Amino acid sequence: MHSLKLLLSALISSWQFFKDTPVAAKIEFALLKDSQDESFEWQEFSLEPEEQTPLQFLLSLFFNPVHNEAVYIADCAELIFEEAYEEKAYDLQKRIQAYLLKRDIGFKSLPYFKFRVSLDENLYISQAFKLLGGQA
Amino acid sequence: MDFILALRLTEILLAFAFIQSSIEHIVSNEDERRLVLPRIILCFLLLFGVANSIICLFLFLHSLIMLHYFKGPYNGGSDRMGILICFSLTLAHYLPEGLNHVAFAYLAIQTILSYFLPGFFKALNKNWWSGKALRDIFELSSFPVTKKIRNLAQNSKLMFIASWVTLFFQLLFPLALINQVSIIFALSLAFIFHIANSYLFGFNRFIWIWLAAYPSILWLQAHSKALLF
Repeated sequence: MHSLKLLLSALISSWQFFKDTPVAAKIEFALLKDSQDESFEWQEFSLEPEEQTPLQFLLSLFFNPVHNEAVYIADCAELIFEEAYEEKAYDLQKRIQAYLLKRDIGFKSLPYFKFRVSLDENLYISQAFKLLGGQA
Repeated sequence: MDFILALRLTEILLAFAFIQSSIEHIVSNEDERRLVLPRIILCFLLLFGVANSIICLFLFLHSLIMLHYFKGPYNGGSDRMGILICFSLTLAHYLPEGLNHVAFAYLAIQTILSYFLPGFFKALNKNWWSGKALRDIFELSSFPVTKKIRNLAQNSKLMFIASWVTLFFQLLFPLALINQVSIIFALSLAFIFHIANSYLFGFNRFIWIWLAAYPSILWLQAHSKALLF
């Protein structure tokens, strides 16, 4: 049913780009010593891209995977409070995990992480996950 | 532009747009690599004109698999436009003479609406008239942009002018169907509009997938009288 709804939204789109201002959900993560660790600090999960030179901009017209991934993560963070919340939370976990591992953040001394997403009055806090592996 | 040529141009541009977006997934993770590989192969077959009708159908079905995999569009409107193009092309191949033109015209009309309707909805929002809505988009929106771009929000005059340029362009877009020169001019402006969006917000996929729908508009403009009467 959900897939059919998604298909119909593509075939009979409302094309309502930028009708209102989409307010950004704030994503934060924390690195933990173990799954029970309570002495952690939240850090901002920044999706801000780096400044581009004109040549980099030209190339980005054809190949911009990091930015498109960031847009997708921002979308997931917003949708976490809507109908597909479990799936989006899982997707967000996987992508934050991949981001932290790729940048070698944490995992030797602080091998666990959790994340939280806030949007207006809504707050989602994940459970702890092992950086290398999955659920704690 | 005749129907066959417009259809073929759409296929070529669609294949290019899908290859471009698929390559971006190749550098992601193993699952996504496996997901997009069949799409890349299908697109090369489409580029070389191998069994176009069945390839269009497979690309449509593959788009549904991607929609299911990401639990929605991965890249918002650009994925939606991709599905719409695959759907219209498939119907244009399989429907009988006459109805196949309607399917292709549907793509053109939806593409025209994709410019007009956002302008219409913006025009209903008074914050767009003053430039405040655009300022908020630059300053507060969830799109990952650099500080330099976010700081443009402080330039109220620029926000005001950019808002009205956008509103005029989008609201007047359907009028460009009047003749061939005006539609080519409007589509060129639209292409620049997408490039600007890519510079400001990084929406590179929109450029190529929307470009794939332009032959349908050129064809519709050239044949609108014949279709209507």
